[in-house]
Amino acid sequence: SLGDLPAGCLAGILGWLSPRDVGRLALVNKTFLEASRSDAVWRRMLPPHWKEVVRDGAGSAMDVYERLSVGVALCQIYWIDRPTGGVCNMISARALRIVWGDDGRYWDWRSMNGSRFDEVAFLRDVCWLEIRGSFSGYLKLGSYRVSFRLQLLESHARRRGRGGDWHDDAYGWEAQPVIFSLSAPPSSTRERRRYLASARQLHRGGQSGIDAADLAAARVVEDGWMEYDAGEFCVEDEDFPVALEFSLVEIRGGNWKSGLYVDGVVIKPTFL
Amino acid sequence: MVKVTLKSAEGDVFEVDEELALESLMVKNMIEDVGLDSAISLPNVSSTILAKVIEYIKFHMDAQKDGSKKTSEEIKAFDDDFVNVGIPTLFEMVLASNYLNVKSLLSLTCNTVANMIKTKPPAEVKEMFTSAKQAKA
Repeated sequence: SLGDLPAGCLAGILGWLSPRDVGRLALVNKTFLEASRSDAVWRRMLPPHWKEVVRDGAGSAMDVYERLSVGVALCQIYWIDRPTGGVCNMISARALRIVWGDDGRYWDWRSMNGSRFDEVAFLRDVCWLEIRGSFSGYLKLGSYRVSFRLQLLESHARRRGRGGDWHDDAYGWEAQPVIFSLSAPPSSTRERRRYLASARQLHRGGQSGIDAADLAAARVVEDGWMEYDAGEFCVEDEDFPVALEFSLVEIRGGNWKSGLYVDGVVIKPTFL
Repeated sequence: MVKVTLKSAEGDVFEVDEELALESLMVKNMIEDVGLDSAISLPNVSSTILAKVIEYIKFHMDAQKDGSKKTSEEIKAFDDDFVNVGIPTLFEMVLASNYLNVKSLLSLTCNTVANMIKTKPPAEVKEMFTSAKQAKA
């Protein structure tokens, strides 16, 4: 009878059913209930390449399935500023191309206060820091600013991380500035530099060796997040979609860098 | 061709090509551990079921060989026919393919059971679950 089959076989059978049927058959008895919750069953229910979507796939396969069924904010949020009607967009860290981003030794994914996305990227350690992204879409007339929303890990920010016990502050950012760039055709690509600093350090000054014209503006926004401007562009024809490319790079210094959270890239009217 | 001797629960002896025997990962591991000199004892598999498993592997090995004229329809017809057995035999085949670790046969038999219970209400499945046990008692 079915009762003679070992749990592994029962899971093998349930794995052929639909999630709905598995839920229904969990009612049969305790053995079915246990088998119906096993990873062996739910791994088969998960879509191919689901790890691209839920990168910190911690927890059971059933948990991941549940999370996916609720929905994961992945790529981009579009909103209008209620008082002004200004069109804003934000591209999540997930939608950026982060070199080494798939390798847990160098980057991982965490949930953070003040982020509108389920997960932000956290830089554990790299020498080669390279983040690139693009945006295309329709905007209203006017001038816009493209900013990276970042945060450097600070001791006092430890409690904000969900994972808990980080012992080190960010390091490797004092040796050289990072380079932000924005390409917004028909304008030519423009680069800006800035030494990254935590919200606490921001006003300590000293962006030495950078021309004022090349210095990327930076602001503290909320919950410790800062916006670093990659550049500005103008929309002169509402019926013509903009096509932007932007990046954040530090590969010249080549030293180890750590402790950077990347929430994403914000594209907002300059008056906001 | 090197032969492997398999011994069923009843002690019946089946001599098969090594290539065929290796399709069972469990037998493959045993051959790696103890070699080919002695018969490989399979106390959890009855002669009837072992014969079925060998028949299944043999058909699929032949079907995969170059020059095989078997169409995918013919293969599917064989599989359908193969699992068109009574429930007790089907469960024994699930157990045997799990024990012998023959992935394709385990998939086939599990899929068959899944299709059987898919449309049944939980109460009926519960009956399938316990019926044989009660019969034994």
